[in-house]
Parts: sequence; C-alpha cells; structure tokens
Amino acid sequence: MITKTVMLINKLGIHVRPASLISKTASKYKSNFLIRKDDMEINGKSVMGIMMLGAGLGTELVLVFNGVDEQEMMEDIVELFEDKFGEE
Amino acid sequence: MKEFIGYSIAPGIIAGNVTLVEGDIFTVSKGHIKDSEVEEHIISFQNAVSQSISEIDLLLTYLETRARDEREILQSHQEILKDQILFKDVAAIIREELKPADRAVQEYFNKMIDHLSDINDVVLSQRKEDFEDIKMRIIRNMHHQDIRINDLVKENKVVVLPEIIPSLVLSIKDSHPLAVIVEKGSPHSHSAIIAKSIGIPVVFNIENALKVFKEDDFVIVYGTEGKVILEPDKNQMIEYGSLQKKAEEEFKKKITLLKTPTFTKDKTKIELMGNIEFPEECEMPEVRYIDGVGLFRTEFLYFLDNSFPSAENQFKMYKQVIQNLPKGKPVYVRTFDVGGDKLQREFGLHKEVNPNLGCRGIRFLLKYKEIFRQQIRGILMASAYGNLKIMLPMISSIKEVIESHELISQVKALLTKEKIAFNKKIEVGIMIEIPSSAILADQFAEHVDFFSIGTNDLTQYVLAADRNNEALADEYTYYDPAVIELIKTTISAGQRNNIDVKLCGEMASDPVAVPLLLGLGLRSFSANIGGIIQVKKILSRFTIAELENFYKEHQNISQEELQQAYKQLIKQ
Repeated sequence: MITKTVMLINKLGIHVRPASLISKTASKYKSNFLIRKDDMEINGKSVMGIMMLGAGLGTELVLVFNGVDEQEMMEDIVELFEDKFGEE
Repeated sequence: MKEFIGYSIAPGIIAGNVTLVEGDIFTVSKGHIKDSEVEEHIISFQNAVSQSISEIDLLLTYLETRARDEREILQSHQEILKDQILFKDVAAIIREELKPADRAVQEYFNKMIDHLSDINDVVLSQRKEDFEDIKMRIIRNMHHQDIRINDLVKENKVVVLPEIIPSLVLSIKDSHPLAVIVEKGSPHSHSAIIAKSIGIPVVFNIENALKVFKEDDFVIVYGTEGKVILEPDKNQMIEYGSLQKKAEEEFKKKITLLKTPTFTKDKTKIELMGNIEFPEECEMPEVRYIDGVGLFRTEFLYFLDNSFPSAENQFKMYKQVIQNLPKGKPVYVRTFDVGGDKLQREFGLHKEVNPNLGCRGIRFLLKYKEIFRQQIRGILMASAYGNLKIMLPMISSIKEVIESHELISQVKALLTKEKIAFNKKIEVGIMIEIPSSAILADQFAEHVDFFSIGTNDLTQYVLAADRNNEALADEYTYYDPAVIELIKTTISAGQRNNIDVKLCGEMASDPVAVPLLLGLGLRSFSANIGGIIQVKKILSRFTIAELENFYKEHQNISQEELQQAYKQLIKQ
C-alpha cells in the first residue's frame, strides 16, 4: 500500500473535467484507489465520488493506492495533480 | 437601473417588456411506488441514462470541429453518466425509499448540488451547473414529453423561463417573442444549439431571473454580450437606440450581400450553399438567401428521441426544410452517417475497437436496410415538393453504390404502386471522403449524379490521423499535398464525366482554403452557417486565372508554406 499526500494547486479545484480525468486514469489500473479528505473517504475510480470531495484550490488530499500495480498508478495519478490537470 | 450578465446564446439587441413563465417545467412524480414497480423504475432510469449517453455522443459528433472546451465538458458528463456509483445510489433510492425514478434522480442530484453549495469555495460551487445539466438531461429522457407553452408566451414580449429543453425552444419560437432569457441553462446543451437558430436574442443563466424581473418590467437584451439591462436610464436608452439602428443597417447590408449571386472577379458563377444540422436552420438568412443547402446532416433525426423515425415523420421534416427555402433551391440530404459504435445497445453490435474504420455511414445503412429504406422513402416523398437530392456517406466501393441504387429503385417501385408522388429523376450522389473513392473517382462517376467532397474524413483517412487527436493537430491538415491531389483527382473526374463536384467539408468554410480550391477548379462550395459571409466575400475577390497561376507557382512547397502563402494572399 502506498499513501501519498497531495495539495491541489490548480485554480479551479477538482471540477468535473479533472474528476473524470482522475477516474479515467485510475481505471486503467488494477489496484484499489481511495482518496481521503478530512473525514471523507471515496473511491478514486468514481467521478461522482471525486466530485463529492468538493476539493478546491489549496485542499490537501490523501491518496491511497493498494494492489499489484500501485507504484505505476501512484506515479500516473500524482503527475495529473502536479500538471494541474493540464489547465492554465 | 440594474445590469445582469449571463451566457450569450444567440445575438441581437432588443428592448421590450418581460413576461414570466413560472413553475418547474420538470415537475417530477409525487408519492411512492409499490414494491412491484421497483424494477420497472430502475429500468426506466437505466434507459434514460443510456439515452443520455448516446445523445451526448451525437452532440459530440456535431461539435467535432468546434469548441474544444465544450467537447471536454460533455465528455466528462458522459463519465458521470457511466459511473457505477450514480447507478447504485439512484437505484438504492428507488428500491429502499420507494421513490419514482424521476424523483429519485432529482433528489440525488439536488443533494449533490446542495453539498457542493455548502463547500466554502466560490469557484467550485459555480460548478453546480454540470450536475444541473446532467440531472435535466436524464429527467428529460425519462419523460419524453413534448412540452408546449404557446398559451403562456405572449407575442412581442421578452420571455423569462426557469429552464429550457429543445422542444420548448421550438414551441417558444412559434409564439414570436422578442427575446428569451433563461434562469438556468447550459451553453453546451442541445437547447443552446437550437436556440441559436431561432433568430432572436437568447441569453442563458441570468441568476434568479424570475425573482428579479417582475411581469411587464422593461428590459434591454444584448444577445451578443449575454447582457440584460433592467429599467435602463436615459443614456442607456440613447445608446440602445443608436446600437439598434446600427445593427439594423448591418443586417440590411448582410441580406443584400447574401442575396447577390456569387461571382468571381472575372464573373465566373460560383455556387455557394450552406451546411445545416436541424430543419430550423434553413430559416436563417445565411441559408435562405444563398444557393441552397449543400449538406443537410440527418443524424439529428435519431437524436430527437433516440430512435430512427418512420418514413412518414422524416417526410414531414424534409418537407419543412424544402418548403422554407425559396422555390427550386436544392437540398442535399446526406443519409444517416451514424456509426455502430453509437448504437451498440440498440443493435446489439459488438464494441468496435476502431469505430472510425468500422460499421458507419453506408456500411451501417446497408446492414440495417429497413432504416435505410425508411429514410429513402421519407426523402422521396418530400421530393415531390422541391429539389431534394440524395447523398450517400462513406462510400468506399462501387458495390455499395450499386446496392444503394437497387434499394432506392425498390422504394421507388413501391411508391409508384401506392400512387404516392415523388421526383422520379431525383439525383443520387456520393460523398467522396474515403481515399478509395477519390482514387477511382472516374469509375464512380459513371454510377452517380454528383460528388461531394468531405474534407474532414478524407484528410483523416488519407493521412491516417485522427482529427480529434490533439497530438496530431499538425499532421491532420487538408493542405497536405496528398489530400490536395485527391481533391484535384475528384474535380477532374467530375469534369471529364460531366457531373457536378461539390465540397461540403470544413475546408469550404476556411477563407484561406477557398482561393486554393477555386484554383483547383472547384465551383461549388457548401460552408458552415457561421462562415458563409466570409467565404462569400473571398469568392468574389479573385479571378480564376490569377488563382490557377497562384496554385501553379506554389504547388511544390510544403503544406505549412502553402497555407502561409494563401494566408498572405487573402490579407493583401
């Protein structure tokens, strides 16, 4: 299991486009993927779940990867956050 | 005086008194369902979700050459619709709380919207509209009802509505209001696309419009800016007066330009037609006053209620188009160009790994002949009322042309037997958009009455570059010498065999490419509505001889240089 904390640095936060980007990317991997925010925990492969986090600029999220391809999955997902989901 | 800003949907400036249409247009069912009805409601929800997904597919097809942002938003809406969590949660509301399906959807999304509103983040809470949009789409697909509010809307008023759906846009148009203001509405919706064609200013997303405006309030609507001014002051009225006068003059100028036949500088007659998607678009001046409709896409027919309409219903729509145009002007009806990938569920087709190289266009039609027959019958019946032509998409072999002709003859024979009138000499042509048909254009010419070059697909297939793949944006270009060569081949095959060659792809709407095409010998263009004025101006600027020479001098340079050279040419 890998746990990684990320900070949202894109201006618009996780709106529908980044949410679908995250879930699409995550769905390419076999491992489980959870996202935690405060006391909320959701399945990172679900767009609805991600949107429900209501994560805006500056929010801290804990990403939890668990499974056979967790390393690759983590790298791929973290890159999306660092890349600000291709925005700006 | 107060000013409100929303989304600009359709241009124009108008002042008048408002009339409010109140109440929730999407009233959902009340009460509870019985245990025995649970499954039925879950299925109805599932069907509405599938319909919403295919509806967006078709919207995406429509938007393929347009705004990238809109495409991305719609694609993410599809992701949400496909989300298992959405299905599970709504099914749980239906099963456990015994709520009717439409109400379950409404409550589910409203909860989500409330949740987002609670979050202390202005930017994110503005994103509620995505959920509103998806919610409305599902509920609309569940209800199927045609809402008519003619009785509520009065003529010569600015209509203010809480929300809007496509059938409502059309019924509003029939009651001739001055302008339309919608409280909630997405610029990416099907309604927005239709609203652009009704010829009056339309503004979406004026928050709390029904609360801030009172019946008979005086407003100025600036459609182009998406602005509404409530109780304007004296200066604003003066400004409105002068802007309106200017707009009227410009409109008159535009009409005069559109009505003038198109000639090149050396007086060669050029045919300029428009591409339309919905029957209503033929009422726009850009289409009415030019030489006809060079491409009437018919995929919308499926899109209206997610099934293929009967010949009878299609007949009514084709007739509407032809009767709304001045007599004699041609309408080239392209038969359904849908891919099996969009209709997997309905036809039990296998998922295609590569839908662009799959069962689409004529291949789909020849496989599902009843759909093809119904459409041909509809077109033939309407051909008794005007100059309709049949245009077959995605033709790659002569066999497909022959098979299509056989089917058309059968339908004609049946109509004759039934004593139903139609144009016995209706022209049948093909789209040249697959390289094989361009390469052998001479052979195809013997079997058809005209060619229409579809540059979007032709470019994609010649260069094996998906036009929606951004990484290939440089590779996908119709300035490529191989694409130009095939356009040339097609034009000269048409000349040799004495059949008309038209071009209805994106290239005909590109002012830079128009002089190139004229130089290659093209004399018939069908452009997107938005591009018609500009293309018309370009067409009259040069002589044919000058453009032929220009092409000869520049034909051996790279595609980037070629595009640059033509950019320079039209700048002069």
